[in-house]
Amino acid sequence: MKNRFIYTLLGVALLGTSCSDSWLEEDPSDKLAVDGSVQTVTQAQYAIDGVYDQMSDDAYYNGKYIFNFDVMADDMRASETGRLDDYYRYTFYTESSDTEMWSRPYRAMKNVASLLAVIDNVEAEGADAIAARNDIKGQALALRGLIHFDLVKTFGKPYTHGDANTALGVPIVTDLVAFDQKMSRNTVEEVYNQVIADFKAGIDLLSNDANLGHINKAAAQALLARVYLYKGDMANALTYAEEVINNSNVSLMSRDNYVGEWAKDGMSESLFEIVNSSEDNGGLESVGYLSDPDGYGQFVATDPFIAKLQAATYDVRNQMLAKDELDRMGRVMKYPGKANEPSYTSNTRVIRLSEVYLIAAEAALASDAAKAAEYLNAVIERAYPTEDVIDADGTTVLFDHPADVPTVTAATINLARILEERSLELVAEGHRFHDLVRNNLTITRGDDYWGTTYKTIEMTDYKIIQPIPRIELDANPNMVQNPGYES
Amino acid sequence: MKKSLVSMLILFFVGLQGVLAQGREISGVVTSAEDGLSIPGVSVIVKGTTIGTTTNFDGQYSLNVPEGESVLVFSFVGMTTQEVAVSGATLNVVMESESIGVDEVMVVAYGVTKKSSFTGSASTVNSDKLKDTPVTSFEKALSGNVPGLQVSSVSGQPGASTEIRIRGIGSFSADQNPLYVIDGVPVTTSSTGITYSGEEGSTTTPLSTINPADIESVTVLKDAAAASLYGSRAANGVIVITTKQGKSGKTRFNFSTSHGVTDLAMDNFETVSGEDFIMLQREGLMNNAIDLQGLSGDAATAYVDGVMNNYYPTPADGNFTNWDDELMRKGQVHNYELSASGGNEKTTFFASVSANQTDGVARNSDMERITGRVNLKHKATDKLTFTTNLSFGSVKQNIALGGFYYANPFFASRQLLLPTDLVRNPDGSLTEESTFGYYNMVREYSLNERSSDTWRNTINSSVEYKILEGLTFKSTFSYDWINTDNLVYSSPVSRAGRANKGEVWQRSVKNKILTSSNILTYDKTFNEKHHINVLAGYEVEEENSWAMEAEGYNVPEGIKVNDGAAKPNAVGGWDDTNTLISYLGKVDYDFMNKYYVSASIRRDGSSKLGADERWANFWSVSGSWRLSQEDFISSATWLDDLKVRASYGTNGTLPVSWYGHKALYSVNAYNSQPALDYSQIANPSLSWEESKNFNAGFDFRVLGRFSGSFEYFQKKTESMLMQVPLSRVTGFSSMWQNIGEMENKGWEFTLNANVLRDSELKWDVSFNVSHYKNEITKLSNGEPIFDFPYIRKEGEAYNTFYLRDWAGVDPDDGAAQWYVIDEDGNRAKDDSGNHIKTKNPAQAAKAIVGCADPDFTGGINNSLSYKGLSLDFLFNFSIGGDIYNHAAYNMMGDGNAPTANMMENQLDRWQKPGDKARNPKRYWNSDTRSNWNSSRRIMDNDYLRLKSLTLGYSLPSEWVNKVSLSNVKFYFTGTNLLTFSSQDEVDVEQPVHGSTTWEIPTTKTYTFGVNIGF
Repeated sequence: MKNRFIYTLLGVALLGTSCSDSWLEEDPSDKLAVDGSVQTVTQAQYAIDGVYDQMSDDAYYNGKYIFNFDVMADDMRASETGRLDDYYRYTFYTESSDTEMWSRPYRAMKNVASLLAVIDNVEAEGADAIAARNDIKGQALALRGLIHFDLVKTFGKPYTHGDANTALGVPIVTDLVAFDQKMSRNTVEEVYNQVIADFKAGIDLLSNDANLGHINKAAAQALLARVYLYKGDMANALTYAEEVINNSNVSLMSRDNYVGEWAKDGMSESLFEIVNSSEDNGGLESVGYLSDPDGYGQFVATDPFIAKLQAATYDVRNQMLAKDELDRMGRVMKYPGKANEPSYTSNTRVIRLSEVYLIAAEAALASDAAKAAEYLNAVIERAYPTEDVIDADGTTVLFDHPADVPTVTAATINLARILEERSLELVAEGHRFHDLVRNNLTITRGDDYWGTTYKTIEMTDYKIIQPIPRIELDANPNMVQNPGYES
Repeated sequence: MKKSLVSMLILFFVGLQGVLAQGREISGVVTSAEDGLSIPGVSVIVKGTTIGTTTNFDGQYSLNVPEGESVLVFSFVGMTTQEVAVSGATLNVVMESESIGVDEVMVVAYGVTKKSSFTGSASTVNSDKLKDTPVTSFEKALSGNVPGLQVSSVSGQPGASTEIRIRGIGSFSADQNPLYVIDGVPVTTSSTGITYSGEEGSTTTPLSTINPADIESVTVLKDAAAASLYGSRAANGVIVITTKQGKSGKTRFNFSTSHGVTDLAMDNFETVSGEDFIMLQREGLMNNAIDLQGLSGDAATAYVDGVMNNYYPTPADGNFTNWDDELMRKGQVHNYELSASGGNEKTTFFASVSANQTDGVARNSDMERITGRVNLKHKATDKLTFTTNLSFGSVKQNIALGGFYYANPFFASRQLLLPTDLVRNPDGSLTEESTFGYYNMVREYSLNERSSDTWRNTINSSVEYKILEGLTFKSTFSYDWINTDNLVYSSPVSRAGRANKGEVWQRSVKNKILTSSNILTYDKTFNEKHHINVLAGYEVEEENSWAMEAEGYNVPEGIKVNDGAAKPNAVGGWDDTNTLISYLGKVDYDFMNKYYVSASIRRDGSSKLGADERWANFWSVSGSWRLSQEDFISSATWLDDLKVRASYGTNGTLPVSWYGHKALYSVNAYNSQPALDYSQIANPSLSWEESKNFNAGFDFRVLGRFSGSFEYFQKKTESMLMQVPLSRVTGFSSMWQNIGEMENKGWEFTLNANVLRDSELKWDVSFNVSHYKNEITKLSNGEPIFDFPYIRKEGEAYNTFYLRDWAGVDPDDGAAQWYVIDEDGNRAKDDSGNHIKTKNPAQAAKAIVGCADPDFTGGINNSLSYKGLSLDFLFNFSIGGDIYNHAAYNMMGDGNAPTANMMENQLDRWQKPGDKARNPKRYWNSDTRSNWNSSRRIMDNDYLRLKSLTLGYSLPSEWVNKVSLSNVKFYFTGTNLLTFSSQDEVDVEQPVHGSTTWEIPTTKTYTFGVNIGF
């Protein structure tokens, strides 16, 4: 190491050009040059983790992509006026929408693009290394599909509402976008085609092995099933859902473990979960902290939802309700925090097997009601005791198995029942709004809705699609706003 | 602790006094021709030697004159220097007043010069203007004293930084602050403090580690001729600070202490009373119930009562909470200083210690400062001189954060905490949070801590060697070390710390700056007519910033360090360096003190730029002509001096970011593994900002008592750096680019007058006024950049507000209205020529509605003295210029912001048809959007402020001499005592960009002090 005192005293300036030029060459201590920093499989792993890291932000999977949508529907609400007002009351506008919901997914996508630009040149010798590299590339492609899907369901017209070949979706980003490039929006159909192609390409490369915090083949298949469901392509949705149900080696978690599983780092039935921790992106704006009455406590269940679940005494999901900030049983304990850790350390379950069963049921409904009932019953039966429950003195049967299990048959199953089960099973995981919207069903909030307008939301309302934020319109003249937001 | 420091220092000084060599003893008294009074502090030097002394408080001196020497030189600032031959053992001298301004020596870039020969533009503020002002940082005392200088407080937090702009804004988003140079060495002003996000913030400035009483003079270099020698960092002007040096002679001690109280200088964001708060909420609720929900009668009342009971319950005892009383307070200032100076013909010294305790106006803000300094100069031989300045400063702060942040006491007391929220529960315990879940900051402050502990050591040494007559080599080496330890602690029982069961966050930052310069100067007069001064040299600088931070959770009560944290959570840090190499040269030439020309050049290379753009040259040429030296004009006896001058040159600004040209991955963590985020796009063509400066002016002195100057300037900045917003589809939000050009044009005028000079009552006035106009002249693609609440557009000023154009409240229905704006940016008209208004803010396009830049700024300083009494007062003023009350978005919510308290102006609202009201009909929590950003919150900001006032009384010397003291002065100083302004909603001193913030505003102070010399 040069003694810089002596160096300066002697006068580096007088020591010639090469010397002074090297004196002027400085690199940051806590950052890496983009060129040349991803050359090995290990470095490629760091790069793909950079995508997940962006996805774990509270503007994305650890927050806004969950609770902003949930408070726009009927199962969840804002406890009182505060952080969630704009989405709860639909008071978002071009000027005041959440800019991070637009920019954060693209920030993640840029990390995908920068990895895919070099992944084929990453050194990999031997079968294991090549498999690892392929898996990373598969993750990148599948995540690119998922991110585009998240954007198009947020900012594009719902596919099932028609005009997908003309309605505007979002710009498709496959390569790094130059800083002065002004991308236009692709159609909804083009985006869906890209999403499906990316998932398929990813599935071909991905490993079957479970990989905590990372997407694997089964997860990509499950997410592709969800994409097809949103597209209304029930045949493909069923195909991919069944592929996961039959071949993933993952099974539904048990009733006994149901409540405790939510605190785990790696839920037994989850296919893909994003790891949140206090060390990286866990934060006070996360869904966990917003659910926690010791935190901000503003993300709570609605009165009708609480009533519905409390009426089902032996449904295990009723044990998921805890005291909320309003002293009701309105906290949904899906974000309790990891063991002995704050609430914001809860992992986000991006997709878990229960949802895949529900996708399969919905996808099969029109073509094979018996099969649909079978898949739906798997979720229903799991929620209830597997034998009779008898009261303490042994005389009264409180719960009669299986008679009291509210299973369905091919004759009784319908879309409403499937959506009802989705509501019970997937509450507070960011699904309800999209389930109603893609099925073109009016959103009706209960009597505890405290906003003035938007108690009922018709599917013709322009606000079921989010506005492109002002910062984007200002910086990019090719960007077209969604209808309705001009005035 | 403080006491023992002081007494140690006294012992040290006493020990320093050497015994002077013996010779012939000459003594006498020096008096003033004007009033016959003795003059203390006159320098008496044996001509041709460095032997000398100064007169004592009674004007007496005595001096050992070596054999063979026979002439004494008497000099004193403001008096004509006299050379008197020694005839006996006693020599009394009467000194004449010198007309002001004649050949004052001023500090300039890399040296000193005579004011008469200076061809550039600069203003000097001397210690007498700085000394009695109770400021925690000297920059605040510059306000109103320097034309062309805008000074605004960033925060009322004691020790926080000050925003200074010289001749307007010279840059977009690159650094807009001037360069500070202390005793010849550029210093860093980058803050090492904290903001709410844990980033570095403006709460701590390294400049606050300097004791203002140690400063001899501050010179502000404004044009290229003055500043270009500082090259790449000079575009925003340069502030050159010189600390005090000792004078040979008897050791003089000075002790001073002052004590005072502080308070907000003006009311800021005044809130409604509790009763009005209830009344306005009920009104908004009732309007909501009737108009929006269709309720009436009992149903409407029931709705109103229900919400009121739920969110705004009137306290059981009827006493609403005044959160201003709870979270803000009167501050206090206590200051102690002791200095000593003296020496002999070989060695002189100045040394000081000081202690300052300032309690801010926010309950949890304070500062404790201890400083020490020793400036030593030793002449080893006639040719070789060593100078060493050592200084130490320690600043400890408890920090009240600014910003839109719940823990900001100013914000919390205005907006977040409502009059209906209680401080205490009925059982007397403190409440935890408000109805809307904001924490009770009274309780939080009692449990938590946010503090900063800075210490700074500076060594600045130089060796000067006279190689030949006129040829001098000077080598300066400086090492500046600033260390800051920040702590944010949340107790496990506090609301903020509960979720993590107690949190400790610590960050240590070390900034180290190494500077070395080696300069040759040659100064020679030929044929008594041609005078040249040539300077050549180089300078090397290395700045290193190192930090280590750690955060821990699960901390038991009573422990505030990470050692006690059961769960280590996050660690971080950096170790970054930037370097600068400069070559510089300058030639000054003058002919018969009549014609002056000067040229300078500097070549800078910086590590902050890529290899292709790394080096740049900066230069200047200038000249002046002293007309009053010409025969054809020197016959005019009324004209004492007249000089015209002009300069042109270039200087630059470096990017703020140390690595802004590189493509970078930042390293985050995911699932306990490194995770790469492509965080910065490469821009290899990123380069310097270059500013081209023209300056022309004249200086005059007439009738022996009026002097002044006028100058015109034009500053054009090219390749302007800006963090340009990008389409978010790129995955990036912004990027540093050189994108445009900007121009500042203006003038400055200064007039000084000795109104009363020859009587016992003396009165000096100085007045300055300046004007500038800022304009963006070019943007790279011609397209405006929207940068809320501004538009950056060609042909407009940088700080141009771009908001919806408020059209008032419709008197018929109380709805908010905005003008419809056509495609050209003008108010649209209907067929009959009337402006079209809309009640839908989304249909109201934005338009240019104001500009933050003032038209005129300046100051008026009056100094009066009568015998021992003196009175100084300084007004500063600003005319023109708007402020946008951005921070009041929710407090002027018209009911749209149910969680916020309200400003008093909300009382002026529409209630019934025909009302001409400032604010629309209230609707509680209903999305009327009437408070959307618009020109409704634009205000004129003209003001006149009594910036400082000092009333002093010096005890007669015959009294103080009896107790062996040389002088005793008592004084009162007030700052910001009076303000006359066109708006009274926020303090008149806002950030230069003109948007209000939630920083703690400017304070006023009342201080009493005493100054004792012995």
